[in-house]
Amino acid sequence: MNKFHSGLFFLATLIIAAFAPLSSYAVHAPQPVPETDYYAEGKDMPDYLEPMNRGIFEFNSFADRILLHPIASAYKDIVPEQSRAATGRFLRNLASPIVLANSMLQGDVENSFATFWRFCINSTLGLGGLFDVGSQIGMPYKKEDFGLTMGHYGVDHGTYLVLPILGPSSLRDGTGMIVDLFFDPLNYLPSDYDYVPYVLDSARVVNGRAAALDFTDTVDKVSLDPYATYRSGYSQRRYDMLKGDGNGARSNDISAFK
Amino acid sequence: MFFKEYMRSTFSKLKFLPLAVLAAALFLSLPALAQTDSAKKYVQDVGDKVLAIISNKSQSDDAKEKKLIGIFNQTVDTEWMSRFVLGHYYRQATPAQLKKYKDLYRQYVLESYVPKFRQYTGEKFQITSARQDGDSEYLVQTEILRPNQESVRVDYRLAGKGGGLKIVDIIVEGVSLINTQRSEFGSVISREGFDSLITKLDGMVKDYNSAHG
Repeated sequence: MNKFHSGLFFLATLIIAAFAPLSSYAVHAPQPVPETDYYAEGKDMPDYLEPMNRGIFEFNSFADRILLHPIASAYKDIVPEQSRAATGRFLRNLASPIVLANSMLQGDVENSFATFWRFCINSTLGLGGLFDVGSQIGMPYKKEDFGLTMGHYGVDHGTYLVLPILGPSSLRDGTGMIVDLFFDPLNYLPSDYDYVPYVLDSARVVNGRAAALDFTDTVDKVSLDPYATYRSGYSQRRYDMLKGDGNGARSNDISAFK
Repeated sequence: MFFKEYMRSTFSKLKFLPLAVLAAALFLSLPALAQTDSAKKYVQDVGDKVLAIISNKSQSDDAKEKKLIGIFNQTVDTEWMSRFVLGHYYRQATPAQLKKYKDLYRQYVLESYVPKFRQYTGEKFQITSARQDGDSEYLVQTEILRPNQESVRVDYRLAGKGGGLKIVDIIVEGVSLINTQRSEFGSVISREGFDSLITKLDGMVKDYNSAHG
């Protein structure tokens, strides 16, 4: 190397060194968010009616506080866990036609057959649905409703919607609930038995509320914005049910039956 | 003559080529397998340790809580989580705000969930599967088994470079803790500002401290 080369080399070193302070900033600057966002798809659904939704949420919280929460708490205190679980299974079994109809509409042959046979086996061997024998023999429960059917065919939620009394929903799912009413055979009973669906729905509400008590009590105590927490939880839950990824991971552990 | 020699020596070495390729393939795949296995083992070990502490009849709840807090601090990477949860708001915060936020976040998560061990009623857990999701990130899927009831799916996201695996998320039946918190905190920041977030976190931590002496 002659003098010219070494001079160039020296100059190059100076120039690179001049950028050193900037590079050390790059090294020490805080890392913002990890590159991969695993939850990008399950993010919150849009909430175009937030002011109205928050209002309904406040009303629901109030009604829950003075009515549903006390009833569900008492139910939980009085009725043992096994009985509550059995009631839940009984009610879920009665809703099998809705799951079957929607599985068929989605072209889900596997779940259609599974739901049909689950209903038969659980209603007989499982004593009217009190026991979930089907899950123990390789037919795990996979809930379907018309909201998920619409989602299956690419219909988005539209907007987050808080329904009075019923709670978190969406434009799509709320509509789905109405359609599912037509799939429920119990809504076609002769007028003498008009009260049956109401009794069952009330039981569903109380049993479901009791089952969710631990979760909602935690949210209400710990959340910085419960409205946002429920909206996010609902969005993620519906996304998970639509994608159905997790259901396959459930093992069929018979020892859990003991 | 030399050409023949050359050909022979070259092709005679080539016979080792399949073996070399096989060895390379094994070498490349084994670490991945071993890594998801070590992720599973990590979750199993932490779970067993936690259950052992909770089930120990000879210790008071307070003593148990102290031990569980120790495990929490070792196994949960609240720094990573706090960054994820802020999302794009991270860039808008001042260093002073960030420092306060991170301190409060750790205490907030700890106090929200560790005391819940008191509600344990003998459930068992089992690991169902694990996968690698990124450079050094894993998802370990487990189930909580309850007698005569449907199992609950709980997934753990682990991250950690340099052999230091830590938990960075818990996903219950498809609902992720940090994803939910991101929505929650984002809602507070967008409606009331960053300082309101810090005030709320501070309030939560203070409530807990005053309730527990």
